[in-house]
Amino acid sequence: MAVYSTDPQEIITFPISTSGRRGINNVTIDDNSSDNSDITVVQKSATFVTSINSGDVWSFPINKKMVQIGVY
Amino acid sequence: MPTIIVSGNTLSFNNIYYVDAVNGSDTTGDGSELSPYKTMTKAVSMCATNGDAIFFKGTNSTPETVSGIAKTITLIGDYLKYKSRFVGRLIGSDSSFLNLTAYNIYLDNPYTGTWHEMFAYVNANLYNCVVYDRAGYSNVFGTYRFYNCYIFRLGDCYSSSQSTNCAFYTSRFPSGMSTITCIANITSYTEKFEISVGVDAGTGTDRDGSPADIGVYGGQFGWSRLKILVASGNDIYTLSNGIWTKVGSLPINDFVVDTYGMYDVPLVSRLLELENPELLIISRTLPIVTVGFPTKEIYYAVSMDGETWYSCINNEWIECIDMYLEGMTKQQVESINFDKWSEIFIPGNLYFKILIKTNDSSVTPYIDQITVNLPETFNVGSYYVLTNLNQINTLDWKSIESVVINQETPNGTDVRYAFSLDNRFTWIVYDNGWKPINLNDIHSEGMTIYQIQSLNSQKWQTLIDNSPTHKLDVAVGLKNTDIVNSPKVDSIIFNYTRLDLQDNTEFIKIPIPEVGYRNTLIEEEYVLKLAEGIGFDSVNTDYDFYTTPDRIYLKSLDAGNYIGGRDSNVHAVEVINGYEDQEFEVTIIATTADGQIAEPRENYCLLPDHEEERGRTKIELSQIYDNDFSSVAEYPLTFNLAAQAKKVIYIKINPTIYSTVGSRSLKLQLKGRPL
Repeated sequence: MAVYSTDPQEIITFPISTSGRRGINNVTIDDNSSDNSDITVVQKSATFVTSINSGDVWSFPINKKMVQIGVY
Repeated sequence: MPTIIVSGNTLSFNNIYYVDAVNGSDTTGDGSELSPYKTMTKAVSMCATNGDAIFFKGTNSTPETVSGIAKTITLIGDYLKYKSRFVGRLIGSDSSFLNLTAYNIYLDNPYTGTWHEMFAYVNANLYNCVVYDRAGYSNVFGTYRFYNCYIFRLGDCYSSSQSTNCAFYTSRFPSGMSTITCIANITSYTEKFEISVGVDAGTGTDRDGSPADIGVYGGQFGWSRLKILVASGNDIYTLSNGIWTKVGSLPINDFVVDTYGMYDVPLVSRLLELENPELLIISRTLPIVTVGFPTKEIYYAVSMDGETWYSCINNEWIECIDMYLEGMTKQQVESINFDKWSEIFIPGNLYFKILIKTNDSSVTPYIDQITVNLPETFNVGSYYVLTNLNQINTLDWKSIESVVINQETPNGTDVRYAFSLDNRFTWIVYDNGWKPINLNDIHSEGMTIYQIQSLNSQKWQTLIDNSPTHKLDVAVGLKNTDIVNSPKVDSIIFNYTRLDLQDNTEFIKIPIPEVGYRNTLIEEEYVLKLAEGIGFDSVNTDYDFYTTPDRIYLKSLDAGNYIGGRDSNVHAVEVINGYEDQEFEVTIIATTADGQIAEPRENYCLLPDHEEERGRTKIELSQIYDNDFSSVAEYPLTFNLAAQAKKVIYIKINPTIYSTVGSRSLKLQLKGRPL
């Protein structure tokens, strides 16, 4: 089975000529990113902040690319 | 198979039926989370003999006695979050007991006296439940196994039962109940059943691996000790009745936690309504945070110059510096309309930068194509010197009798003219005398066809008499405001007399080139094909597919599912030399997925994927893209790549196999030889 890097990869496309055009109507993309029902859950660490009587306080920043989060 | 997380443990069942004792309905509900039943009776009736679960929310105001249950059922609640409290009795069958497993629910039997027991004919395994049974006997014929429960009251047990890590309100344990690390006489519990005794005193472990606490907060299914608040800047928020409410400022304190702390994490979509939200997790144990990402992540930015990149987020263009956090999704790119594009559009080139990421190393994101839909358009507002290549020689002209122009100017279009007598150094028009103009102003100051054709011979004579070079040039300015219509000039005819032939009139017709000034409708759509796949197939192979930025790398290409007997689309693959000071000679060949090298044939190769040669897949590689791909293909593909240089190569695949769909994967193997 193929093993793919989970590191982000960047591509820059070769240029699309728009010379002489007065604009762009729209862009459509055919990729397989829209299947958001396919979610990978990973475990992350929170950062200790302080202790109060109610317990230890931990912080965890929300990344807008996250689609779900659970704390247990 | 549906799953549910119970105190951090993921459990799977054939079916999960939801009961909301307050808001559910047995008549209109279907037992789903969004449309729950109202009663335990209904949910139990829906359960199969084995393998199903019931999730119970709320507290039923009318006690239920559900009897004759010859099934194996799991009952799940969440008391802190949903006040999950079943009031009533569950009765199995004397011929087939109810095998009940329950988690995190309050089981309350309001009936008293003998033969009104909470359970009969029930073998019950209760985890982290609260039990309040007022009957004399608690369970007829069945056996209890309690783990980390809090027991307000329990009748004597009919059969030998056992409790582990349980806290009892009563001063003695019930008859028939053996106990392991249990504590009696716990009378100081609040409604939340918090316990300060029995910490780490139980048998087994809590979820964080520490020794189990006694009571409902201990063990593998311990109630959450967590409270959640959300910080945004220096402010602290809670989600109350669906509305974000500021409840304090950092640093956090016990009053805010106790008064406003949430038991559950809001949805990410709600969290992102706050600016730079940060969860504040208040816990007595090390919190476990699980985060779900789309398995395949692809984000886009666009540029007009290949240097400055933009994203359109919330209908605003921002400079995209962090592709991961600021890049656009496919949906965001597709939602940009013409007017929005116009805010950054500069005619020339359009580039896409794409970040692709997989969060599952067995799955690869891919982009099949990006289609840029461009509007119909014309080259507008340009001027052209018609005589650039064939200047008119007026040396033998005596006079110009007239000028006739054949032109078409549909609505919204215009054509203007200017002339030059000094090798195009200055341009002149007639306006009560010949006057110079700036050629850039030809659209406003140039002569119309009517002005030119109305000039008599006397006025033209000035051109002849004052031409130091005896050369005449003509410029034309074409203009349209309507993209549908185009102005058109077919010919300009000068009728003149010659010095040596005074009685005859000659004419010269300026040829109008077909290309170069006539407005041209340009194709409407540009389809950019990209390679599929981002990863490298195996860390053990001897070639590198898109690995690190300090190596030459190449995007992999998966040829699976190409249609046999048809050419594929042309795919582009970018080869990048990440070395700062090392040039390479790069050679690219094709192999099958298992590494069998393709056989070279003329300027292409054949994959050894079929016994007969005519059934093999044809691979063509090229350094340039051309409609006649075969004419530019070369194999193996070899070229030099300077340090830090990039090169796009193109691949066309024709799986000429007998079956209709190819099943073998293609790999491109890259070899870099330092020069």
